[in-house]
Amino acid sequence: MPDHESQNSPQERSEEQLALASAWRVVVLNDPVNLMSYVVMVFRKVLGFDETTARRHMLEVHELGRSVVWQGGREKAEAYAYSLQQWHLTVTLESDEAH
Amino acid sequence: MRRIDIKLSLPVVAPLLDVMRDACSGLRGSLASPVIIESLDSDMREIWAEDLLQAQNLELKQFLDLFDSEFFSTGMLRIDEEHADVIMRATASLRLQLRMGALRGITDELLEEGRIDPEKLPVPQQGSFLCYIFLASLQELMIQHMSGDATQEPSQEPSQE
Repeated sequence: MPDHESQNSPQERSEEQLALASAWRVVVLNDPVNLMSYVVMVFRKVLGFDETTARRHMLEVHELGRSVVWQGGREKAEAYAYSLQQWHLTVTLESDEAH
Repeated sequence: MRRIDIKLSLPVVAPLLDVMRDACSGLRGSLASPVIIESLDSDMREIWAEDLLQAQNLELKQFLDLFDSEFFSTGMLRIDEEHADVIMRATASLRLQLRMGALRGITDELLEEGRIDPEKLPVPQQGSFLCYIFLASLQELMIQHMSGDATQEPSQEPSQE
C-alpha cells in the first residue's frame, strides 16, 4: 500500500516539514518562589538570551503568568524544556496541533 | 577559576542545617518542580522524571557537602565556579520544597514583600522561613559574583533506550 507522504511532491513535503518544525513552543510558567534574578540568569544560560531579552521574558512570566521563550522543532523544544526543568522552572510545551 | 567565599555566622546558620536536611529528605523521592508536559508520552515523562530526580539528589548532596568541618570551624562557605550551577539549582529546589511544605500557609504577597516578622510565625515555621530567606540571599550573592556572560547548550534529552 503506498503511503500518503510518498504521493506528495518534494515541495509539498518540505513545506510540511517546515510547518512541523515550527509548531512547538516552550512555555515557562510563573511560580511564586524563584527569584527574578534567578529566572533571568537561567534564561541567559539555557536559552542564550542577552540581559534585555531575558529580563523581558522574565517580566512576562511574572506579570502574565507565562512566556513563550522558544519555538521551533519538537526535538529541540523538548531539549530546552528539559534544560529549564533541570533548573527547577515550571515548563510546558505547546504545539499548534493541540489547538 | 572564580570562587566565592562567604563568611557566615555559625550561630545563625548552623541551626538552619536541620531544616535544610529535612527539606532534602522530603525531596529524595519527588521533584521540586514536577514534569507537567502533557505532550510527552508516559514512558518519556517517566524517563525525564527519573533523570531529573537523580540530578536533583546529586545537587542536594553536593549542597549539603558544603557544610563540612571547615564550615563548622570557621563559618566559611567556599563555592567554586565549577560547582556554582549545581549549588544554585539545589538552593532553588530547597526553596520550592520549603514553600510547598512548611511555608504553605503563608501568602505569596507576604513572602515576596518580605513583610514577615519571623518571631510572629509558629515556632516550626520560623526556621523554615529563615532558611528560605538564607537560601535566597545565597542565590543573590552567587548570581552577582558568578553569573557572568556564559551560556550553555541545551542538554541532551534522556535516551529512551
